[in-house]
Amino acid sequence: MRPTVLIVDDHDSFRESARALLEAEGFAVVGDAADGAGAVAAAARLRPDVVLLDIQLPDVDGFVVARRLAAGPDPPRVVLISSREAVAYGPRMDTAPVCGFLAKRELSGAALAALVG
Amino acid sequence: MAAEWRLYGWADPGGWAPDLLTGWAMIGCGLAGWARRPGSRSGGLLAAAGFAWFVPDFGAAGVGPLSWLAAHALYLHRGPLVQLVLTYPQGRVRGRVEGATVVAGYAAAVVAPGWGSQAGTVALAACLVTVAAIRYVRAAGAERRMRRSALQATVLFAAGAAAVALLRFAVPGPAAETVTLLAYEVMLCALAAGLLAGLLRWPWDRAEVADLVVELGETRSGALRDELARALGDPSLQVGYWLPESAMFVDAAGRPLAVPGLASGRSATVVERDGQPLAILIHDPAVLGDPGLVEAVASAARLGAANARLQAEVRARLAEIAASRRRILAAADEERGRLEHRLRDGAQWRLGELAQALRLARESATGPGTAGRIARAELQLTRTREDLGRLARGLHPRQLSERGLAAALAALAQDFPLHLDLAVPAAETSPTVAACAYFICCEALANVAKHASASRVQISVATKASGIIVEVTDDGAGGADPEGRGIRGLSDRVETLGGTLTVASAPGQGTRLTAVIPDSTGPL
Repeated sequence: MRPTVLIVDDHDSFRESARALLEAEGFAVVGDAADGAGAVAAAARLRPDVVLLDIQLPDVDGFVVARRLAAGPDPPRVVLISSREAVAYGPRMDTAPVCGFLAKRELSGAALAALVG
Repeated sequence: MAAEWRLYGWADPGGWAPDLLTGWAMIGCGLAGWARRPGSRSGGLLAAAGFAWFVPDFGAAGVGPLSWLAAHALYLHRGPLVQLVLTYPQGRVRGRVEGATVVAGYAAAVVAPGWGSQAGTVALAACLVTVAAIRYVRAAGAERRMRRSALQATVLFAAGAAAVALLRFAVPGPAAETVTLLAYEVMLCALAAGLLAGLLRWPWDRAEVADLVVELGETRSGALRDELARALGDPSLQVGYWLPESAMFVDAAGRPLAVPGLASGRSATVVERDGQPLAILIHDPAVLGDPGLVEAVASAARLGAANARLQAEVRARLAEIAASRRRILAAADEERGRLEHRLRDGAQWRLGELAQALRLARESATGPGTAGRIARAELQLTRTREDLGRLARGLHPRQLSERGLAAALAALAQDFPLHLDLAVPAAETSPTVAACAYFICCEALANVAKHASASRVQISVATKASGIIVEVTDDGAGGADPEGRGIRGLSDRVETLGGTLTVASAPGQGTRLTAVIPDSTGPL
């Protein structure tokens, strides 16, 4: 059973490439969302195992979305992604209820699998 | 003396003594003034009035023509007196109105009714005072001070003559005549003494300027102008200093000084040393009419100018350097703009094409393995395009030139990983100032993201008529190094535009970076 993934990013091209990449590397991408509100709704509806969550979103940022997801019943495992390095987000990264962070350049099926166990 | 004897005989000292004294006072004071101030004709005129004073006394001589002359010359002395008081202290008639008044004064002395009539005397006195007052009001500078003396003398003389005339009109009879004559004689003596004293003190300007020579040894260049303006009585005086390298005159602040043409109504006096121009005085033509005064001012200016010229030269150089720094900055910004343009239209555009091609390839790929590998390449490409876009924006933000500072900062905030409060009014600023403000924010945000461990950042921009104030505040660790390379570069940029950059960053208190950028950067 391949783990199911929800991809949240405001760039269409990134969602498409990430979907193709993860599909090719052992994940089942069950949906995507372009903003924070869409992400919370899609997660409730699709109940994915993993949410790949971009930090910079047009409405609320990834940290807020992660807290909302964590507050729901049976929360998914969340991996934050960004085109920046983790250190740029300072202390907020340390306290976020997520299981890991991936810079977009490091994204691969194996790297994601290593974080979500 | 002979004349007095002819008129009164020795038996009447009450009659001849005051008369004799008055004539001698005028002659004596006049000759003394003439001897001490040969450049002025006032002494001569006073002496002439004194001699004329005695002419009527020959009326009893019994010699035909002399008696006739004496009979008509009772007021002869008033001719030179009118000329004297009007033209005092130089004694030279200038202008048509003054000339006509002097002629009228002489004419009234020999032609009846003239000074002989009481009404005529009052009218002439009023006329004299009016002319002197007008000349005084219209004069400037040193000329004005001379005219003031002339006005004072004229008023004294005219008031005396008019008072005598009015008294004689009001109280006819020989008793009144004796008293008024005596009063008139006293007034003439006082006038003669006063005019001589004035002549001996004259010219006051040179004395005042000579004092200046002592003072100016240590004064600053701006003060030289003020001191000279005060000494010459010309508040509009401008002082320029000659810069040999650029072959022009500059003022104390180092700004080029335009030398007025002939038609401007201003005069320019060049102060030279060893045949080289040293300074220039631009002044009211009236204030340096006297060649002696010009020489005194020139020596004062020579002394002060050596010091002042050095300062003006330094300021001119500084202004030049500031202008050249602004030119360099503008050229660098322009160059960055061209680079950004080339990146955008060249590399970025082609990478966009490549991304399109990869997407088509992935969509038509047969196996998931191939699609995944193409997707990995696409992600790398996306990342590269983002990097390149950031680089281009850092070089020269297109938003800034196309949509202004507020829009460019908003775009910057979108790309910033932390929470960023923006308070930026959508106001017009000059491109140079806007670019400066933008780069300050960029550098400050980069520093915050790298070092500060902050959770909130605030950018506020206040636009004033004189320029803008940019403030970037964070709640991070503080302890930023104001001498670090990034901040040093920002300081240079801000100072080039004549502004200031301050950094307050105590450890544990966050960092506040404040830039004040004036929007009057002057010509490039």
